[in-house]
Amino acid sequence: MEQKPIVSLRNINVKFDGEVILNNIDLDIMDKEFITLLGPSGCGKTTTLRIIGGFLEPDSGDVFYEGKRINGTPPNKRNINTVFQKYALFPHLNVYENVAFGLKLKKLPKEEIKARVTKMLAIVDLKGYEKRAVSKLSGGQQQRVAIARALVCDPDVLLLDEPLGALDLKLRKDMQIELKRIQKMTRKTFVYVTHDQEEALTMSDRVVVMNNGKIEQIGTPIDIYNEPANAFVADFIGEANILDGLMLKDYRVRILGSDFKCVDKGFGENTPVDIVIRPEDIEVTSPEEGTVVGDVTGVVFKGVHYEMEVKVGKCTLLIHSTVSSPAGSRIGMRVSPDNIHIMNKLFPTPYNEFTAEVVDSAEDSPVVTISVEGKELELENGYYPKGTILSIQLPPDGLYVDGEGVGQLTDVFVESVIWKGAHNEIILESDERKWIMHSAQDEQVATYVPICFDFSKAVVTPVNTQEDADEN
Amino acid sequence: MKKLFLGKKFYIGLIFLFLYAPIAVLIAYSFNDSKSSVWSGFTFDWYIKLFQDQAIMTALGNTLLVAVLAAAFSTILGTVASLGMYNFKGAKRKIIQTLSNIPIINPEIVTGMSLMLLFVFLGQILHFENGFVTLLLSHIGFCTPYVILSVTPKLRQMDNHLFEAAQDLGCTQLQAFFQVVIHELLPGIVSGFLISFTYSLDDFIISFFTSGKFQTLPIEIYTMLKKRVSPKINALSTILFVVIFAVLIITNISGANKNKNTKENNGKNGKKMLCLALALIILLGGLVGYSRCSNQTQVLNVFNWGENIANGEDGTLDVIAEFEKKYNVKVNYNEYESNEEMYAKLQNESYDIIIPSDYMIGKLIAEDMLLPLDFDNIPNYKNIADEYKNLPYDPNNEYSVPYTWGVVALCYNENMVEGEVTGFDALWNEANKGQILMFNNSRDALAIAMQRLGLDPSNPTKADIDKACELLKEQKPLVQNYVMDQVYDLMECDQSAIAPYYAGDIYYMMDNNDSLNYCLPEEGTNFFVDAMCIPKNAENPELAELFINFMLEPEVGVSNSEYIGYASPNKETVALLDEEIRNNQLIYPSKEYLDKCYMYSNTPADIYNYMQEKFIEASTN
Repeated sequence: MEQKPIVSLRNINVKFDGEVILNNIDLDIMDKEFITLLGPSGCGKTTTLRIIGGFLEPDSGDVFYEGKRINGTPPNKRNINTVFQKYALFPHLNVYENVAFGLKLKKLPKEEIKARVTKMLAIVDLKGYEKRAVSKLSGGQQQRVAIARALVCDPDVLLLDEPLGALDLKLRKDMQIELKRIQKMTRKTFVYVTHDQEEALTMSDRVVVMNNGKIEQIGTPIDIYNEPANAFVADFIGEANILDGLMLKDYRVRILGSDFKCVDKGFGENTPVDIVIRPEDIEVTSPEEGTVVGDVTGVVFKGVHYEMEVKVGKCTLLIHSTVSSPAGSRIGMRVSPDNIHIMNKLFPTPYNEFTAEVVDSAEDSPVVTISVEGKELELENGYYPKGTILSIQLPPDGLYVDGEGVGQLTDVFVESVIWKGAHNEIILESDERKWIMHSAQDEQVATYVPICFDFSKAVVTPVNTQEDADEN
Repeated sequence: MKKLFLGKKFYIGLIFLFLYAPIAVLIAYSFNDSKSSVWSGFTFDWYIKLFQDQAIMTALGNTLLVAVLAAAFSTILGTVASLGMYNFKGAKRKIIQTLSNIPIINPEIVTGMSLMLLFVFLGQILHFENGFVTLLLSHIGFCTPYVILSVTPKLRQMDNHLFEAAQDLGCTQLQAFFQVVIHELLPGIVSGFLISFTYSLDDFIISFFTSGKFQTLPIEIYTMLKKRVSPKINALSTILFVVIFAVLIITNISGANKNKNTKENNGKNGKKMLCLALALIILLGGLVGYSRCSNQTQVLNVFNWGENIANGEDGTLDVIAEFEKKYNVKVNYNEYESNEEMYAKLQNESYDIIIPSDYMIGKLIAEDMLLPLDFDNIPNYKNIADEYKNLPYDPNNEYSVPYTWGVVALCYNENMVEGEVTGFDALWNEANKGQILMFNNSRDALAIAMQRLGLDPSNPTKADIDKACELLKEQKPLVQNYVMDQVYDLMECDQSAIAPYYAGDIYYMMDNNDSLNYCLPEEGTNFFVDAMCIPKNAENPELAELFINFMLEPEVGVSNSEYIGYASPNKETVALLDEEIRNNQLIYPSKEYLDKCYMYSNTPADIYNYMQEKFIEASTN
């Protein structure tokens, strides 16, 4: 692989209707590599592709092509071609005419067009289909026409926007191999967009994991799988047990009440961290030999291995093992130090810490009214005079999503949801700040929910003095 | 189960009967060898006459031209508009789409009125008259929303990425549109074009307000209602129906083929249709352009009653064509169906020749709307018999030259009527209860009543009108119906016993039913004259005088007289007529009888309105 970037994105920002779609994207795409933009829907991967293709201008930031800035260059002037999500074949043209479309626009001689189209149709295995109407082709064939149509123009970079999404599983697997073959054969740079992590790991030289308009991690499939940069990446790529941990000191971490040896350092002492352990990395032992002990609650045979659910206290772990223990049995578990991945927490503090002003109170009542983001809420924590600024420390379980749809704060954005074995760790974003919430319920990422506060769990301390309040 | 199926079939049959029976009747009548609704043999005559009728063919040409141009322009405009709207997002798009749909639900009468007001207003500032351009603009205006409505769904169905894919492969935005997007929109564009074409073709209401002197087919047919719809129109309607039916079948068959064959044919068919439409536009434009160019000399605007001039049928002279040929000029021929309609149009339009009735001439003279004639340019005026000169509506004969005249008489069915018919008394005869027809027209109905009361119908007062209305109310229980045109069918098909009507028309009815006879009321009756005049705002008065002179040629008069059926004031013409007609007392009553008759005079507007109002009150409940 060459180590020369062909396309570079610098500080790309995009907003639609005030919503951030891309947030400071920096990316170098190397010449002749197969790079995949991977992420859940709405993460900004297609938008990134459209910026490279020239179909969308970023609000700010630069796009470079072989070192030259190409912002504002229309798609037809870029030596980049695209394979669209639903192929976008021209229904009024047949297979040959579709593939020849770009070459005709370049006003090439007829014989050359014919030679190139024929050769390209051979590469994508569609010899003899020249005269067919594209609407009569199967999904896989249409797919290959779309690839041929884009590649015949001899672009340096081929963009592929979830090109296999409409195909069934078997065909998708075949096409994955086919695409990789074509890429190797034509020696082009492929930029591939997908939300299917398996597809990304199978085909790519490098994977770019995106979420909420940001790049979470860039790396080879092996890096991404084995060394996820954070809980989101770990959760998104493959299956993982993501747990809360406490970094006691360098090389020593506490998980599920037991101390483990690990290979990480530099997190400080007694620092809360996220722990990732892949299901196949947990070794099943007798209860006596295990570092932790749990009860098997379910076993499913998966062909190559057994998938076991093991309960440790309130927390459920997922284990892939070639030997099974029957449900109801007690087992011990061990993890070798280099299989424990330690990451910084996604949320900077273990609690929600914020300040709020008392806007109404009465001396004979322990209930005061405080203002949070313009909403007046009641807080039962004793009397504070009007005007007092309160510092509130609310634990993650002091927040809950209102089932009736009427929250105290409405339209709060769900930024990430990660299953922590016993509960979901949900990060939310309201108008002014982010919140962390623990919930047994699952919430949909990138949607809006109403949230409520349970202040009985909060620690409240007044910030300003009595005199300050009197002056108001 | 089977029973149910039969019931279904019967029901579907009933629906089709209901939908297609009227058209079947129309087609049948287009082959009827009689003008009335009585079947009297099979003929192709009406089809032949249809193509010989200058007025209808001109109107048809005009209509097709406007329809093709309006459809073409609104198709382009509507397609571009739907593209624009499609690229708007959310609320903005909704607002604009709703706004563009409002013209469709807006009552046509409101659209028509407002367009007329706008054009008249602009016309005053920019000095133009309503006509071809204003009509075309209005048609483009009301057709465009339909195009938007038919193109927008195609845009929505289209894969959004097609446009981008074309650009990706090297197209500029414009190339992408013409090489890819337009193929996807083509079915919508074509159907938008066809919808616009048909809407424009048969629009009457909006055209009526905005066409000025430019005659279209629906307006032409409407003006024919004055007398009766000629079976030529049945023939024309049949042709139109068959053509549209054929187009429908062809589109459906090609549509079915499209589905059967590959999709690539789709675009090619569309292309063919588009080429066809374009060829049609160019052809029609060329034809009209040619006809305009070849007659660029002088133009005469004639505004006449419907069916009030010989047009080449039944061996008559095509008077207009003859005049055009003789003087190498172009005649714009327009028709109206009542004096009042003509009066209204005269306020905004300029005509060179009008042919109003007596009282209306008096009114126009009083309002200084007519040009005094230069009789040196009308030497044939000497052909007019003296008794038709210096009539009370134009005492010094400065403004008008009589064209036709006649009287109101009674028509009765010998086998049905009770008692002897000698005068208008018969219309009040209890014995004929339920079989009496009466004028559905205030002036003529009230005149008969006033005559019976011994009042002077020529110049009624409000008190006279009140009394006459009382008498009409007394008569009402005996009256079968108040009619104008329907009189033909009712009398010719033995449906009614007696009716007052215009002499020339009674003569015609008697021709179609041997049981009919006429009576000149012994007490006298209304004597009416239609005369040729030149309005003050005429653009070409010299040519108009030439036309009047031409109309007074004896042979021209004979053709007109034979075609119209009313009496001619031209003594040279009368001398050339068949003895049978010349001596017919119904058409040409004796001078003694005419002395007993009266003419209407110019009724002041307030009296006229009072008449209208009171008559409606007396003739309805």
